[in-house]
Amino acid sequence: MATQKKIPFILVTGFLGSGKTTFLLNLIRKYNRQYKIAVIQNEFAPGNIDGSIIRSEFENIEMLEINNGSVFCLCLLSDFIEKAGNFIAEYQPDVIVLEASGLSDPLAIAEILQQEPLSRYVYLSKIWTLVDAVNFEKLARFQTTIQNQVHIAHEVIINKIDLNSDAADAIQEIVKKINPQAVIHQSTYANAEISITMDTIPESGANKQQVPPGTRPDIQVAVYKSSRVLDNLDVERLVQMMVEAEVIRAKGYLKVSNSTLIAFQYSYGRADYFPMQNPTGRSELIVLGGDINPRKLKNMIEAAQFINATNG
Amino acid sequence: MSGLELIKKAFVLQETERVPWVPFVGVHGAHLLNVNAREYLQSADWMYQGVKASIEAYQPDGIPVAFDLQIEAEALGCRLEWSDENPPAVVSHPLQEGKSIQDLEPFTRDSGRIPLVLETARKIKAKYPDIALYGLITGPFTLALHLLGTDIFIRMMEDPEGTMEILSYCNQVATQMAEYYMESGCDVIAVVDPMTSQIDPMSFETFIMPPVTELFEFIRSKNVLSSFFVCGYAQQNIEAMCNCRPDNISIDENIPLDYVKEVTGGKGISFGGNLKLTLVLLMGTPLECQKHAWECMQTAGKIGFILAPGCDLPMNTPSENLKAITELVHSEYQQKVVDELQTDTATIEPADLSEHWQADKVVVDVITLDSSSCAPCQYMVEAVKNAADAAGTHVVWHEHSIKKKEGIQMMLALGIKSLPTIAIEGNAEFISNIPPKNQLMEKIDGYWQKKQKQS
Repeated sequence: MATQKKIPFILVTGFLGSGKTTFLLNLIRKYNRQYKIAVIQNEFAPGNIDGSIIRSEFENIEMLEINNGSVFCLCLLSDFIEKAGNFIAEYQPDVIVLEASGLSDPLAIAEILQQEPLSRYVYLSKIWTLVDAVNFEKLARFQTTIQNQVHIAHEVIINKIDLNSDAADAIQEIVKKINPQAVIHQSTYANAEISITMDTIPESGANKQQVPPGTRPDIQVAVYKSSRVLDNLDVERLVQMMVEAEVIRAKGYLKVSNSTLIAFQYSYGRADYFPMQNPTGRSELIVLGGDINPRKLKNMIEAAQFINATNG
Repeated sequence: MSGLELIKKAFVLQETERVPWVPFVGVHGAHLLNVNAREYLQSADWMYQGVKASIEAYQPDGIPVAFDLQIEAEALGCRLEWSDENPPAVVSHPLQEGKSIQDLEPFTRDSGRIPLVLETARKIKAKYPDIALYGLITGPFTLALHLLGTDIFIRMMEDPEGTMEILSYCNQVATQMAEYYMESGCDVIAVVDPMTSQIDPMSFETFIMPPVTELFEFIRSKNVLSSFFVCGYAQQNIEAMCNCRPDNISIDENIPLDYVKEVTGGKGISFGGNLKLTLVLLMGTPLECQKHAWECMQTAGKIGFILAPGCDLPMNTPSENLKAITELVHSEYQQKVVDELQTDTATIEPADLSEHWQADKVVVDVITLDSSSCAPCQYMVEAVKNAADAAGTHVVWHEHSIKKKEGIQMMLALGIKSLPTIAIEGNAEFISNIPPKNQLMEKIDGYWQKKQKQS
């Protein structure tokens, strides 16, 4: 039976003015011939009315603008679901890139992507966050959304470094403190060595999917989010369970006590985790796998708590 | 006890006989009337009809006049982009474009669409005096974002005094709006400030707390109740929000209800929320909505809690989902049913029906909570028994109580959504409705005739 080809969904976040649109242009220039890229924009930027910046250079790029206000509120996500779903179903691109509003919470978007109907077509592949070297130090101190965007990113691009080169190291340190596991790039004009890669499910293992040649297996994404302390969590056991469940990648944080937040990263059987210097925040984990869903992920975490508790 | 009395009781932390229910109907009212959001929010008559339709469909204890955080901004000169399925969006920020506060349009009860919402409020209050009417005003920080755009964040760092001046002005507008709504009959003034989720507690205390505390003090001086609405991940600011001394805090799904209960409880403030807007209310089934609402009700308890969506209801939220929550709120019986079903049905396999059907008999299944303890279930089972006895030996019937796993498996296999239900040959024929004997016999006979023809 042929598996449905799911499309990788890349989320580009960052405060207004951090260079997201320029970054998108660079990305499209690099991959336009290799992949059919579709872009969803949900940002009001002066001078980018109706996506004109991208359209002026690439006539063939399929674009969807969701300009119903800066989406910092869940009230407006329903519109996003419907419009994005129709857009993806119609154009069937190889990759989707969402330029999210500077005020949006990336985890709220990730949660929407893990549910029907969007989970039928796409899986959240990566979160890339741009920060503006000129304003970041000031803004990150009090603008919690910027902190959240950096916190959950796979890769962080510190942009406009030429305009504040003296502060480059200091900014890099702040980013590392917020997200010690992100790959960090420094760039000017949003030119960073970032690649679109296609995730694959390992060829070996009991749950190997039978995939016809030339198609990708069906990747699932699950998001876990909780403010409760994960008492007695055996992280090593959780890693073993991820191996058994053939998880491809996982990234996030686990709040194991009121004073300990663990930064957690997992990729193809290998895990890396350690306590954060600043332990404030909730548990949040984004997991990709061939056979994962929100319920399974929750059960997995609960089992890793239970086993530890019963073993004393 | 009227809805208004129930809400008043909840606001002063007295135990209520049932949890009060406030569906935040905004453009969902347009959906009920089959008009678009653009027409709806620009017509006092449509808004009145939409709220009226919502009151009739959802039997709420309280309801907002309108849910549109752009009304004040538009009145001050911000340009709006209208949409058919959402409230409008602000697309121009006058203070970012070089205007000063003095250049903005004067804010009065005759500005923009304010006369429309005030007229709507007066009409609803006259028609439904016993329902708590919520006047929703744009919080000062969100209004400042509309006026200044995202430059406000940089301004907060670079020019704190100038930012305070803008926020103080926005608070003045909010105070006027609160006054207009109170004069028009609103019982609760809700200060809706979703932007609060964007900043840390220290910035909240510096910039937001002083003006908003004054605003709540003003509302209190008029003997009107107040609520502070926030949406988004604003957990860091809940305590500081309580310190602004509103009577109630309302949150969305981003913040755990038990956390808010603990913090507000410690401050002697009531709380509300946090039904999931998109994944449950918009996209879930009626049963999923009931289960989720029941979870909220159990977490929150009956003291100082108001059941409400996390924010403005998505326009196309299915009515049956909100009606299911209404039923749950008003019916202890339905609460028992949902409580039984709270077992994670996703892990239970549906029953195997391959041996269930019989070629020479009509099979009637009654899915109940439990006929020995639930009166409607008992009457339904008796009705089936009487009809089956009278019909003869070609009818077999079974009761499946969902208190047993087998009952849940059968409910899943037959796709039954409400209890009690009579299914004949696998088709749900009578849902929460006990039919007269003749009607039930006719139905069974119809199936029997069909079966005989097939054989």
